[in-house]
Amino acid sequence: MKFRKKKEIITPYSTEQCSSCKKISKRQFKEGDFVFKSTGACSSCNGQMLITKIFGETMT
Amino acid sequence: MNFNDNSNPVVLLVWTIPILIFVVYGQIIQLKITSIEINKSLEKLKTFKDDTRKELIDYIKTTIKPNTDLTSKFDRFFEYFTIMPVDMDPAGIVSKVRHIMRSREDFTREQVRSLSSEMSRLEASKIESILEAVTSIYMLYKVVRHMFFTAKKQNNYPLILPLQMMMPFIMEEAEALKTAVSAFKQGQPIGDGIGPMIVGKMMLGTEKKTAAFETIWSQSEFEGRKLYLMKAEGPVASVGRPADALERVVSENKPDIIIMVDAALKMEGEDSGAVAQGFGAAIGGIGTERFQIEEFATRHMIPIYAFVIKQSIKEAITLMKKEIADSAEKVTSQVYDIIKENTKPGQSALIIGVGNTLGVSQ
Repeated sequence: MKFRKKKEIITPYSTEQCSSCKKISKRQFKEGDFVFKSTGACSSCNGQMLITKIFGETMT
Repeated sequence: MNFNDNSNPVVLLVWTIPILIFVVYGQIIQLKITSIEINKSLEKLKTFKDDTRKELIDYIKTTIKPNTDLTSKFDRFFEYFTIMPVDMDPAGIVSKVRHIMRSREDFTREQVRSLSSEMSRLEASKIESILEAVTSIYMLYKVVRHMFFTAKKQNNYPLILPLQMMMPFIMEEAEALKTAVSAFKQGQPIGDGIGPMIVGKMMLGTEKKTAAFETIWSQSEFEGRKLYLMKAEGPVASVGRPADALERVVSENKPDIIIMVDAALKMEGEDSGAVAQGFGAAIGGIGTERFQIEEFATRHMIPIYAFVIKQSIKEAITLMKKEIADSAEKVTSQVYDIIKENTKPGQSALIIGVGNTLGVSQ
């Protein structure tokens, strides 16, 4: 008997964190993203947003 | 006619003929069945080889838009081989292996760089990584095809058995390499980048200096201890030269302990992203870097502590999984615990993030 593997779809996400208020937001990965890249000002406190993680989440 | 009678010649024939066929031709029948299975996998490998080759050439065409057709040039690259040094007299073989491997890396780097003078180092490193993946798939295809055709040509069943046993592992590796191409193209961090990601975070806000080729280091403080932090220079696809860099930093700063953070292959049943702690140089590859680090640390009597983040071969070379990325905080806190437990205020520690730093800055 052979076990068939389920087809996996992996979606890439980037997690951004504000260096001042520590607010975390998650969005889909965009080309040009890299970990520890500054992405602009925080919408809540105007602090510096930094990409802290880029990862793939599996959807079956 | 009584078919329940065992002495009936027809019934006797029905039983004995298949037994005779299987006794005489059993091995050939099994060889045919196994051949069909291996042939299917070989066809799949050929598809992987052709698809990844096309992906690489298309990627080059769209990103650097060369004036000439580079197909024949790249087809030559895929066929390059490396002759390992003679090991009949193993003394001094490590430096020979290092020399040959570095010559190959330098040659590939220069060839890729020569495609366009305007290409960034990040773009070039992505192409080098894809080229490495395609070359590995080519090699797998050629070896499997050779073993399969030899067994078929010689009608040699025992020769095909090891291939049948190895096929699932070979296909797993080939699928991983094929999937890796997509992550390389988009510059996404791969599972192997967890070590550089952990140390990269510790390096934020510090002044970075070059320690060796594509390898940087910086200084920081933690509860009265000096920390020397080292990783490959991101976000390009590079593992740097940690052994050369370690030699320089250790010679200049004499740290009291060395801590290495790397990805490691998990055993079946282990969870991805599980963290394990141990002793010794946590670094993969052909072994030359590990040899150099071990020798230097032994000469200076510096203990080496290791942290590994478990993952499969596929996870190590494809887009970093959430479980692996989430282990970063846990490892960081364990690294600080090791520093507190094994050094006193005023002492120092060298922390190295080992792995491919694609998509991970500092």
